[in-house]
Amino acid sequence: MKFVTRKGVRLDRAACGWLIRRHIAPDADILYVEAEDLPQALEDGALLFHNTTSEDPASGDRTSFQELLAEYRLDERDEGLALMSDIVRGAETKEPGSIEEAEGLRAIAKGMNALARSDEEMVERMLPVFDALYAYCVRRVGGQRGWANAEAGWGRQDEDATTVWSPTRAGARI
Amino acid sequence: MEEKWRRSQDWFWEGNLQERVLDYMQQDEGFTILSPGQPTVQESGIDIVAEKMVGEVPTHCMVTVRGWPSSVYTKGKLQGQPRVSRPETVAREWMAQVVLDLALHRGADPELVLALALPTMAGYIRYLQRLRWFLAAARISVYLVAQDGRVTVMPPGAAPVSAVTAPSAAPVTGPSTRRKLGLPGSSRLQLPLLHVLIASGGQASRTECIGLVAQWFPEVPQPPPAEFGQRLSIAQNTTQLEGFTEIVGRGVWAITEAGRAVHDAEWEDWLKNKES
Repeated sequence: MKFVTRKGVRLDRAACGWLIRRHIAPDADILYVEAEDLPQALEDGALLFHNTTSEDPASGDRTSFQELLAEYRLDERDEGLALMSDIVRGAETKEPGSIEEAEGLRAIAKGMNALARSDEEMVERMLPVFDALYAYCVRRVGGQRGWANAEAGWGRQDEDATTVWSPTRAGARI
Repeated sequence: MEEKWRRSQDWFWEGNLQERVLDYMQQDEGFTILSPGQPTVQESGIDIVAEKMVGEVPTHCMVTVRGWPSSVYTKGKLQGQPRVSRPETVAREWMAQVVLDLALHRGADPELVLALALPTMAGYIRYLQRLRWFLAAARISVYLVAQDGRVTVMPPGAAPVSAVTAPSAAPVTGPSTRRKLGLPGSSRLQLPLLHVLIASGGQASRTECIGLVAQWFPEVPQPPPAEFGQRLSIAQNTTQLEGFTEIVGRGVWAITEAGRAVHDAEWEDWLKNKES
């Protein structure tokens, strides 16, 4: 399986990269190409994961992350991902009334963007951030709002937090 | 005052896509439209039926038009307010319905030319990419409609590359898209239609409206060609969906109070724009 997007990955598409790696197709190739190379990538069967040139500007609250979730029906199956998509959208769009975690995520992503030297590196560096955010979301929709180590005890790992993102658990989706 | 929301504002609404595809099929592909289909505010999809002579044999084509779901409610008290269900979730259901319909049509008639018309939204592009094998096997081509009005056709099984290529010429949105036939598009006919209905005492037959509206467009030949009547019907349908006109008898159209209000608010601007 092959996914493609144009160069210049920021928050939303970094989150898409995480979603592909962790929940859709862990072994997929993810390509970051110049705009003029996109047609060839599509000819070769790659799946686009950013908005097209003709998306409606009025639909600015839509994120590619949400679209991928809906396409693979992950938001129906996983409330943690559904909550995470709200946070990603809030961070991406800065819409008033966004969920409070969005602002922090945006700051981290912008910082990571300053540290990374390529799209691949940006996505790789953000993987553990999104792993952590997802673990937080899973705990939160499960009603766990405290610190995991306070519940599990120091030195013991919280089972939820360490297994929820496992690629082998997630597997490839259709 | 805040402008009232209208379904036709969304370029990706099925009614707007239908207009582009009808133009393309007639002007670029030489089809005769047997049935343009009727857009609905419920966004239930449109089937265009067309015919073209290939040699001496008539070939029939059915194009299923699907827009992208609105992000707001399209009818009822909440019209114009944000929807609870997200468009991308609804779009998946629509795509599933369309694929089933197309598969059933292909099974029922192996000779029918089948096509699908969609806006170039990324969500749809990914589905098309993943369904290339199906589209090839079922011999279904795809009309892709971009926001600027460009229509491109993907042969069965081809990659949807036009979705990621910029237009080669200036945007063809708005009135200029209709220059090729010398006919105004249906969106330009809406206000003149309201105007002639008022001038006719509030209602008029479709035939009368065709003649009267055509008088506002010197470029329309006399008598107006069938395509003009078709576009006026689409304009009437759109204004009906927006509550500006209604059908009060067989082939008789009437203006509503809301239609009068819109006419009074916008007619002068329309005249000024026309003159300029």
